[in-house]
Amino acid sequence: MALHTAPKPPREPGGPSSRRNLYLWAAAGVAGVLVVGVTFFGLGGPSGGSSSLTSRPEGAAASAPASPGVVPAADQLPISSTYTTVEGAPTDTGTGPTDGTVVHPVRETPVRDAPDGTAIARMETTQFGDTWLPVIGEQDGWVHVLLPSKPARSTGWIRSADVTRATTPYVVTVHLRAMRLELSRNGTVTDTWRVGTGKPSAPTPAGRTFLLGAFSDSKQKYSPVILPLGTHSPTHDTFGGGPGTVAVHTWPSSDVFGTASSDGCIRVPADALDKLTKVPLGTLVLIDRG
Amino acid sequence: MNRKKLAGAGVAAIGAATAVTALLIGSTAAVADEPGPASSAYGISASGLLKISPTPHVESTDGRPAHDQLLKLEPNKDLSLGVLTVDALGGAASTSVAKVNLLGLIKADLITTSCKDGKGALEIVNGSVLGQQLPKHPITGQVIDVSPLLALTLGDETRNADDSITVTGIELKVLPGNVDRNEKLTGEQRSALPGLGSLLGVQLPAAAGTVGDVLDSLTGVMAGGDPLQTITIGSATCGTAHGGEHAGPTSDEPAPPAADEAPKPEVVRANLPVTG
Repeated sequence: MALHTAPKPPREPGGPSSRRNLYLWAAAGVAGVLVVGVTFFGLGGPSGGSSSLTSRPEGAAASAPASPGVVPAADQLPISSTYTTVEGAPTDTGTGPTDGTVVHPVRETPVRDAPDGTAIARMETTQFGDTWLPVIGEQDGWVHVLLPSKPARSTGWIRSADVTRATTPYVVTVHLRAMRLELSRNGTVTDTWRVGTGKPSAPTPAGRTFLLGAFSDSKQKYSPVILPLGTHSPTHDTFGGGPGTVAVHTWPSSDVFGTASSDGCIRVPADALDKLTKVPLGTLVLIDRG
Repeated sequence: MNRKKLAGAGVAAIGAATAVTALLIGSTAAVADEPGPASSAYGISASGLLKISPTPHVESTDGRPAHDQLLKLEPNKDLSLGVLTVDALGGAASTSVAKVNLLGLIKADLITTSCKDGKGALEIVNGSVLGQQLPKHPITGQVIDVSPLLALTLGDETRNADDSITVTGIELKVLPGNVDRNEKLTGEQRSALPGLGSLLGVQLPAAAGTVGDVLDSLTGVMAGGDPLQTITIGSATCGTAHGGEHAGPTSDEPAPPAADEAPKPEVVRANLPVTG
């Protein structure tokens, strides 16, 4: 028995989910509901208050309710994850660092296109381990965050009441033309590495993104740990069966560092990966063309 | 069920369960001036091979109290529940399920799931899974893998599009999906197979060595990547009278305390092909 930390599998909008199945059962009043040995016993209601009582004959099956209490529209929203595309998400126009605030959703919550705006997606509490998102803006009761879903540079608004806050002192900066990656702490560059980037036909996308997770994959043996970012290849809608997620990882041979030879990922030396693996999730990754 | 047999102890148990739910939601305004999202609650639901629609279920759409109760529920010999009580009114909902026994694997004296003014709560009294104690007040959304056959989610919360909050007490998933066929079963997990098979109406090989052995015996009943069976005990959905919780700071409220540094990431196992 252990705490669950594995990432959730992709769930397409409107696709199968156990919770949704429950609601469909209820809404459709599915025949064949199995309720055996039920004895209904109506009381006078809760103490100190009036009560709306209904009654059924002894042994009668409970009827399916018209609604199990959840607004169906919410369940039809796509989950915002590296596997999905969220339509209507505002585009991040920023390029610089933030104050380092990151948030972790404490419950699954709608993502909206503006404070009190239209719900465009759902954000789950886990992606690869706990979900942590960088905050790029705030209004009363709302945080504006970068999203992990397509298209690149997607953003959304989440209720402040649904997140816990933390800060990260780190910023990762990738200069594509120089093929260098910098790790900064509290505004000071602490490490610089020569890295490999995407080839011209599959470039690493520029813009603000973030460290989405840290995972090991027995099917991708070139790196002991892979750090997926919240952005995707502009040219590979899918890649190797995945959704085109851009990641930071190492590579078995050092000749790739200083070259534009990947399909979008950022290849870093082993010591860089070791340090980056200790950087909190949600930390901004600023990718520029410099 | 013979009602006469329940006249003594049964009524006492009902009284206790009702007192719990009344205490949890009793101080909420009975009827909101401007009713917000509907509040609702149900005691148990199941999907998969065993199907149970939300039972008992109540909903309050206008803020007025709604209440229902079942004395006992025994879908089969491996699943038994005592008194199930549900209440809902404006901005609050609660459900309590007593004497829970799922396959002998999951037991609890009382599971109370409640939601009030956009805040959820779960209390498990004397709960255990495979003999291990469950926390009385679990972390919200805590997932316990009883790998690889069972997964429990405790106190999961979801904010709905209408700003209401749904709290799910205990959600049990059998063969929760994305399992590793080569993962070996422990003796304890093998001992659970007969009970699981009984629940699912199929015979599972008691001598199964791996997850794959179990899956092979379920050919034809598995549905894609979905769990083979999901059982939910306790669900409460509550809205707020004024359209939503605004726990974040406003111009009239003090700023939140300085946040701690975010934790270092935990490396998890996953299979996500990236762009190399």
